[in-house]
Amino acid sequence: MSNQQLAIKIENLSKKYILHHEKPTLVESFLKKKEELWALKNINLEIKKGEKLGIIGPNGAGKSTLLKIICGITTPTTGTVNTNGRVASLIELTAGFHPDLTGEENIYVNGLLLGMSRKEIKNKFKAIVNFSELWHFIDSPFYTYSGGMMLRLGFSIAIHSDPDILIVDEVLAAGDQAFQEKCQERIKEFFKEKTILFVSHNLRMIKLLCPKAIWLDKGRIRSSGETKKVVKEYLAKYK
Amino acid sequence: MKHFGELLFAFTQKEIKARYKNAVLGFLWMFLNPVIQMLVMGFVFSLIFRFGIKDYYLFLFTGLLPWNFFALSLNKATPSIVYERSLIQKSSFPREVIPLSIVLSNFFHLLISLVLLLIFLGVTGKWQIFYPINFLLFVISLIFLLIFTAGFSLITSSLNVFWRDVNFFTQALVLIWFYATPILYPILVIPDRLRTIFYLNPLSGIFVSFQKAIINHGEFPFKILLIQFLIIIFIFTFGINLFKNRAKYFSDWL
Repeated sequence: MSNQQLAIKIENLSKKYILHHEKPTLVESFLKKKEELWALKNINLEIKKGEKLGIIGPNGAGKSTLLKIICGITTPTTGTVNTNGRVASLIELTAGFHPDLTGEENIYVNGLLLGMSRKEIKNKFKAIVNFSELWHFIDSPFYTYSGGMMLRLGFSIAIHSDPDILIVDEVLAAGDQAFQEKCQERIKEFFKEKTILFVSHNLRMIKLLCPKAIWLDKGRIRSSGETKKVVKEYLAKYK
Repeated sequence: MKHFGELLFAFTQKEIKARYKNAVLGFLWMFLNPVIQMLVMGFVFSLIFRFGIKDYYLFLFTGLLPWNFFALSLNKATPSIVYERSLIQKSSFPREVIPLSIVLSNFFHLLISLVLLLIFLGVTGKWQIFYPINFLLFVISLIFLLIFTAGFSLITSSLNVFWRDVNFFTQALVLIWFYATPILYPILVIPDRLRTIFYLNPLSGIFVSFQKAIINHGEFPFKILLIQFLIIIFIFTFGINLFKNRAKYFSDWL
């Protein structure tokens, strides 16, 4: 398949971590032998544009590490990852917010962190505020916001960054019932055209939303293909 | 990252704004702080030292203002990556903006206090600095001070992620460095044969240039300055490369 139609291409990806048992200090780091842990081992994966892929596996299987590498937060030890387009994660929505800045200032800082330009944010500013419904609070400092308000703004910025690849976990929405429905609505739209990586322990949701899935186990892809098949194998092991 | 400049600018702005938010006097502190600082330092140090310098307090300001910038920047930038761990764990962006925005926000404060100093010099009739050649030397020294501080902060902040000892080491280093740099005393106090050793410190040349440009005091060893400026450029390039190389693994160590 030509690379043009691929959203993500992962080849021979492995990720090694050094296990820390104590805080690293200068003396220790020279004396102690390092203990290694392979979080991911020889992962090969091609995700087509518009594909919706479910990722399942027990805790410690390497799901988070895989997502971190796809987002560009950490680097593979060996192998390559190519992503085609802007990646946005709906998992950490409030990471870039500063408590002393106003909502407006935070929209700019967070938008830039997500890869938007100043001009792009300016053009979308109204839409972001409208979607979050926080008109009245947008010039208040962020420490006065409630947790729900922070999530609303974070969600609104993330979806307005117009991502090509979206990373979603089971918490699909933020805020109260009405706002959640609005988010679901928007995510459904995204599901129509965008590439989605859906990480969840909710197997029913995965079967519903993703035609294909992979099962990660101890850093390797244990099984991949049609979601029904993968989930069946996964359940068979843990029963 | 396409919008590195915009991101760096936004982070610098964030640093400056966050510092003065919720302070009743707000941005007035930006001017009040350096004035109070200069008054206190001028008074205290003028009583202790003089080194036979006319207008010793002016000599002090020309050294202490840039030094404060260097020391504050380095002490805040070195642990900055570790402090911003949650952001680094959750978001992918060029990590350089964290230490660089700290350096730039402090540089902004330095510029403000220097403007105050220039106004003071203008009002009191000490117009030495306003000759074009002196002003040029002043601006060049400022730029190299900025480059050196940025480069050195990139080195210490990236190494501190892997060895937290670096932060303690830098704090001690800044204390010693202060006395190893001609700030309280003029370089001419140092005997000729020891002076070369003093010029191994890349900051010496910068501070000697400041003193020459602003109050026309001391010497102006052109060749030594040239070598020092080359070393500073080397340290800066080394810092950027080291940081870029290490930044890939930051999130694994935080």
